[in-house]
Amino acid sequence: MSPKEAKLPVDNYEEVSKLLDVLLKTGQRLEELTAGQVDTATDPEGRILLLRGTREQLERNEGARQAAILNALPANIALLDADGVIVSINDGWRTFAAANMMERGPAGQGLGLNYLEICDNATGAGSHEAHLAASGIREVLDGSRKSFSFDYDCSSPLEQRWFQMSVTPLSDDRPKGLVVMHADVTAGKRDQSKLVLFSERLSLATEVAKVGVWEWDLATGALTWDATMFAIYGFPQMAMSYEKWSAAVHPQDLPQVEATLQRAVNKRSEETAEFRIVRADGAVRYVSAAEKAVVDQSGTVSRVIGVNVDVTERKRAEKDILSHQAAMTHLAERDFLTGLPNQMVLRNRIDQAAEMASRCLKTVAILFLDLDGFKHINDSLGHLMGDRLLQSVARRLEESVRTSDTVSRFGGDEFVVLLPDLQHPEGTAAAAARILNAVAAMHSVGPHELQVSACIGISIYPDDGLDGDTLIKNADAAMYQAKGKGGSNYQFFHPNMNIRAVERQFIEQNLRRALERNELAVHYQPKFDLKSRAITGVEALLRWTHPVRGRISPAQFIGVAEDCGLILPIGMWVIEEACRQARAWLDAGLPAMSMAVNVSGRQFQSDRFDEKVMAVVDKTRMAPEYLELEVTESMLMKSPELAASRLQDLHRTGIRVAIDDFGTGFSSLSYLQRFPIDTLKIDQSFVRRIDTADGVSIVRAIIQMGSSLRMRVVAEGVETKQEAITLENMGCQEAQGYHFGWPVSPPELAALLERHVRSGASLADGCSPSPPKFIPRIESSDIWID
Amino acid sequence: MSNPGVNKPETFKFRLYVAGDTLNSGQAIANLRAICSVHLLGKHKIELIDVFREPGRAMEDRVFMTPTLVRLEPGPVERIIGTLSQTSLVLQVLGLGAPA
Repeated sequence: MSPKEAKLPVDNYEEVSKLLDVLLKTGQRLEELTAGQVDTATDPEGRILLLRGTREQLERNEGARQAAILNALPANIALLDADGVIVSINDGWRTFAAANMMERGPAGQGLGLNYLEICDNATGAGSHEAHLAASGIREVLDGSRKSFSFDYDCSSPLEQRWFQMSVTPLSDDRPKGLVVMHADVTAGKRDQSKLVLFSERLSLATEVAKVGVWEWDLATGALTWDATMFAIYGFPQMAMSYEKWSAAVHPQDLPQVEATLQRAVNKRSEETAEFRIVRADGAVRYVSAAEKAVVDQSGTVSRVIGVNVDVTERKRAEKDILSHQAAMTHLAERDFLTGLPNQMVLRNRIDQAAEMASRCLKTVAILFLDLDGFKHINDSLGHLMGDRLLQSVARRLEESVRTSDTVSRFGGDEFVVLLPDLQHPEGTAAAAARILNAVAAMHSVGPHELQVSACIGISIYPDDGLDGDTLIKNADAAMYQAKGKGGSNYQFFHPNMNIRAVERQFIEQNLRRALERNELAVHYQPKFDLKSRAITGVEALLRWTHPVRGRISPAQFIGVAEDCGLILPIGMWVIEEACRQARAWLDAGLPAMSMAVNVSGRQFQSDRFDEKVMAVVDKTRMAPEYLELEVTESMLMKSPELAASRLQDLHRTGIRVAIDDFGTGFSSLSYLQRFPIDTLKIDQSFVRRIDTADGVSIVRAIIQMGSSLRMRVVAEGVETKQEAITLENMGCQEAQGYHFGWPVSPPELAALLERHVRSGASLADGCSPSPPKFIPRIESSDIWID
Repeated sequence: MSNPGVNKPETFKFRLYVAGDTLNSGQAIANLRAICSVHLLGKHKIELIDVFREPGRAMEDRVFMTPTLVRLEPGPVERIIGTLSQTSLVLQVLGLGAPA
């Protein structure tokens, strides 16, 4: 046994007790005597005493354990005494203090320092938090607060960090000290701010998209709306309820909407609905809704969440599109101005009536009506009043015939009435008289009370003709006869009635000589880019000045030229003249631009037309892409197959194709797509009426149609600034008309071009050229009969 | 002191007085268990008494220091103070090993 071994087998406890007593009192040598193997000793009074070594060991253990615990905590911790002096810190605090925490926050002091004083003395960044911490600590120390905590931003330029400071008393009573803890809550903050950000984004998205979000708690019946919902319904922000909502739904739609809601709950499904609401201001709005049942953990439907979107504008747009389509259909069959059936419908009905009459051995009457002195009304009161008078006359005509009869506007101030079921020719006279009386009655046109008379010519099937063309032509001749009698009367056709035939003969004879006598000339009307106001091209327009009768309107001679075939040489002459002129301008240093030329139906269908045009192009050294041929819808529709292949042949050479007077024929998308068309020219009658709702829809429909088919859209007959502005706003690209420039002679146009070039208003680049028209087209009241 | 003997058939009953989780007490517990598991496997019972929790028990047994091992059975009662780290001495006192 070594001397250090502490075997103390003792029987006599008094003895030992005494020994201990002595030893304890005499310097406590016990530890040494027991070689440090004893932890405790009991004194004579029974008190258990820890020997020093063990006590120190225990203290070390406890200290180490507590330190380990404190150091393991992800926080910076300090123990403060009642005066605020730091008496203990953990590793975190130590590290944090070393890493200059003081710059941004109140954490981080060494042992023995007075934390309160440091916080009190803080200045600059973080001092606000420091002062806040100091006051919190004082409140906990004086017992006025159980605990205290707050979050503070401790970001450095490199890193964003958030801390939470918390102060906890050491005991519940008036504390003798407290624990200050600074915990990094950056992650939590980040998650929280992400959530806030996400929520803000969602809210912004729904707000921007005007999507209202609602939530309906089935257990409590509570209905929660977001701000957008209130905006959609026009409600002030208030507590919502199912009843308040359902009261706002249009009564006719409510059952359907409630059924949808019920279905969402019953089937736990997603449902959609569209319904009307009546806002507080009385406005009816269309709402598109979607809702979804939310199933809780127990599998029951606890809530329904849904969205509402105001789709009124979309509905309106859909309706607009429908009305556009309806308008286009209407266009195909109706006269735009009066809404009466157009010529196409009239001819069909004449054919039907003739067929029916031939079977039943009945007769059919055609009444051709022309107003007396209408041109005077137009000239003195303007086109608008003239148009309104025509509308009024149209109504009178409709009112004065049976529903089985057809009233059609033939053009200008001419109307044709078809009486398909006639018992006696005398009945026709009575009808004509009735019509004349109706037309002659006073018309209220705006501020004016107008009176107008008319003449009627009558032709009878089968006596005066077997087909519509002949019947109309003869009724027209009879009408001329009536005019010759002083107006305001009617005449039945008689074979001798050939007034027009005489006129036609005059024109035909003189037109043959016109070319030789140099009576024909081509004038040019500029077309402008609506945005830049640059000149994009010109349209070639034929002029005839007769040595005796003076200027003769194309409307008067083009039809005759068509009939007698003169249109072929004249038309080709115009094309050649226009190309030659274009070349001359180019050679004179003027910019290249489009040259539009009108082509008549007969010319277009003539033999080898395309080859002849190309020959002219070659001969005049015209660039084909600057030549634009203008054709009409009716020309294309007469023989669509031929027209398609002919247009394609022309188009292949680079020559452009424009549809003239677009909107007055058989407008349909399907046929437009069959032809290689570069340009649509909106007929001037629509431009004239662009300030009316109908006019706006038609023009917009044409522009949209052109845009969707990638065609240029040119408005014709633009006469006012307002029309130009409206067209530009609608997206129309080009325009021509008196507002921009009249048709002028070549030298005048050259001067105009030079002015434009000099003023810097350059010719629009890359505009599709629109070349001279082969045949003219002039004053707005001109009617061109193909 | 009883005569030392090997493989006595009786069950050994020990009472070990310790003071909380102090170092010497902990060592004593560990050493006693080691000795028992080697020499008295299945033939011993150990009762641990923490003098801080049951100060009266120590007085009754007249235990004045910790750790103190008391052998209750077989008699007579023997006491050993200390960490029980001197195994041969402990065995000898307990009558389990040959005298040193």
